[in-house]
Amino acid sequence: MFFNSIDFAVFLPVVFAIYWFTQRYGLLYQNIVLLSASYIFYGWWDWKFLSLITISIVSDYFIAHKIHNESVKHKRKKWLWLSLFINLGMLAIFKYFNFFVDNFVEAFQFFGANINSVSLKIILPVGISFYTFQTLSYTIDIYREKIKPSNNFIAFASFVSFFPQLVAGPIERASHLLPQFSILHKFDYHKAVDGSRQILWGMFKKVVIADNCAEYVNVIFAQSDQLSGFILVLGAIFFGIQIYCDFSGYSDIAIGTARLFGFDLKQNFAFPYFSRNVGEFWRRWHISLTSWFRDYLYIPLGGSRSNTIRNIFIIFIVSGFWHGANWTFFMWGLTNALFFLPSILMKQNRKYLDVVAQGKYLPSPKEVILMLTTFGLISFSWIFFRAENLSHALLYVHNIFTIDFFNHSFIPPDINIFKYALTLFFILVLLIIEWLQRHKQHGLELKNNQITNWAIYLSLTSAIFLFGGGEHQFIYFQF
Amino acid sequence: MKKFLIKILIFALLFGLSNLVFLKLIQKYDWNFSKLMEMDAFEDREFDCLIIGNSLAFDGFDMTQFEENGINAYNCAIAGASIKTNLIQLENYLNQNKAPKFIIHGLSSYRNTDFNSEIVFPAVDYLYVDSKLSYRELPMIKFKWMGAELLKKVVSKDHRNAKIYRGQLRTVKMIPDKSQLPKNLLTQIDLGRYENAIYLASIDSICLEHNIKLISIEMPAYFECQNAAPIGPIYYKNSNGIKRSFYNLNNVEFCKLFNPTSDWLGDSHLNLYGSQKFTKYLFDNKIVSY
Repeated sequence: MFFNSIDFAVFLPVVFAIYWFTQRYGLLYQNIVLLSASYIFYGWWDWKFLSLITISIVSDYFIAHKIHNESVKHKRKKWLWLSLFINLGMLAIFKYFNFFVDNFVEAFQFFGANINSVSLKIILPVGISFYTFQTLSYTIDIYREKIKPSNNFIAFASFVSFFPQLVAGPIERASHLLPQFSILHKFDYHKAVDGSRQILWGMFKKVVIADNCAEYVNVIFAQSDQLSGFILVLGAIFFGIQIYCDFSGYSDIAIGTARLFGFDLKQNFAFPYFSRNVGEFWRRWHISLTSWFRDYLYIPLGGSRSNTIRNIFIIFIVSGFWHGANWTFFMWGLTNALFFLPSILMKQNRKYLDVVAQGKYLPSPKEVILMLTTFGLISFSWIFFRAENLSHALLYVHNIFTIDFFNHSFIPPDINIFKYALTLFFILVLLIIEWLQRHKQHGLELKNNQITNWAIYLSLTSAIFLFGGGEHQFIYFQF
Repeated sequence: MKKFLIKILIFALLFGLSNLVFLKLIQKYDWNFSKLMEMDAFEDREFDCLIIGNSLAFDGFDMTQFEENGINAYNCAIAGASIKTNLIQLENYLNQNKAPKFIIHGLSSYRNTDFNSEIVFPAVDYLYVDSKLSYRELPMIKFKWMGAELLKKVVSKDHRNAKIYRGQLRTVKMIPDKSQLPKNLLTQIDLGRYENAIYLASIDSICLEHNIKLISIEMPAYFECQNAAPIGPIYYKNSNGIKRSFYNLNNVEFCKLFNPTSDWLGDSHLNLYGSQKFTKYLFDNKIVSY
């Protein structure tokens, strides 16, 4: 079930009503409502997917207890390996099996050996990378004795399958989210209002900006061998805006929806395009995944204490492959590692921990240059992320520099100019609002008077209905 | 909880109100919608000629020349209308008014428009077809693209200055045709599309039933869409087995009539100057006669 579908528009109020109605019957009933709702939400795509998430829930629930109850270290480790094997095994089969087999066959063919390819006709279960990482962090944290296992199966199952963040995050830690399933939630007016605003802001970003940008991106990337360098650069920038609005829009809707039920999810995007270097960008982009890799991969590898450069490359490349089984993601990760490296080597990666232009309305010229440079580098790396395959990406980059930079118009081909101008206007609106709100959790955290607020709500809603784009799928659902 | 639900209710009410305001605005200011409202109010009218079709016909026929030639005509064409939409419009017109002596049907085949498309123009659906109880009936969803059109009028002087006269959109806005002729110009029209067009056949039947002369025309278009098939009339048998014909005025030689710089309104649509040349040709060559 997509957040931007009529199904969800019916589903959410129904679950909301039932959930708060069951408050009087206690915590168990609240959790049962959430668990049932999450299963319906997830099964809406394909009920067969439910078996995978059930395997994850059941296995990790019991393995966590085994790890906790076991005092012998190597036995604890065996149970952890079992959890890793089950979770990563499912991920490997459903997400990476065909990729590795194809590459294996190609490698053999390169050396003259012909072997028959075996490929599985399987579809990638929606959100498998997200909930796999969420449950993995649970068993690893128990192994590390940071948390204790849950004794409440329903609460644990609700935590793993919590529908607002099930299919595209934020990837929550058990230490933060699981305890919230152990307290009876009482309706909090301010939380619900703020959640509703965040949902509205997320919808605006997704439907009005991301979906409109998608139309131009699709045209530009499909005709990248015929367009001018300028249009290709524009295509990369549009994709940068599209993926930000698509994914952060999803996160806003997820966090806002969770708040309607009294839950707090962690901020997943902190206005990343206002970053002054790539290091800052990665502290502000997809925060739940970046911090996951930091805590469960980078630090165990030695972090910045030993082999820093190797560790940086490893986490960026693994992060690339986490997004998908394609060499384009590998290159995307590699490019980001290369861009990140200078700030590590010059010890600048933790230089910008504050919000840009703190306490000022406008950034300084230096800050503008730094932000534009960072945005430029990140947009360049998005070319690899968006391209169909590696040769397409390389050709795209090659064409930026070889095809006459201004040999076409400044406008992508086959588009409605008025709609294009309107999209640029909405991007400007986004930029202004997010700049003004950059100290806050989301773009619509308002403290205006009631009339201004209502005007904003109605304007955004009207824009969503009247000017929404044609693309509907969330990009990150495929991961 | 109560306070939150009240706010949600207020939001829903305000959103509903916004939809009503939007509906009233497009009914008054949208060219297509306001024309449909005007047509809906027609009763016992006795036009000599009706023009039906989509946007190419909406701005392609100079209605003043019909008047000058003593023909009482009205242009019913709507931007984005399918042939099924034309059929519904015609049926509704004939239910309330007298049959015209002839009908000109402006067709666009240059982009392989689906003649059997089931899509009904939303405002026609709203006015003539029973409304279904669905969220899709919300004006901001149903008439979504009219919102952008309305906004164009706010920001564009050309749009504000365009006038509707007897149903024709008259504008002097010019967008030059910079497209190129295809390397392999089609020399034959795919008649199968005509022969299997069920709604065209229905329009034929209605015209036969009411003794209306039907003139079908493939409208002129940009270079990239033109063909080298004969102007015609080109004959075919419709899906009811009746012999019918149409004129192919998207012919490359015929389209030399138009100045690529000054006669187009954009995307194969004729502006006022183009429509004047086009309509004059129709009268001079007796394509329009009764």
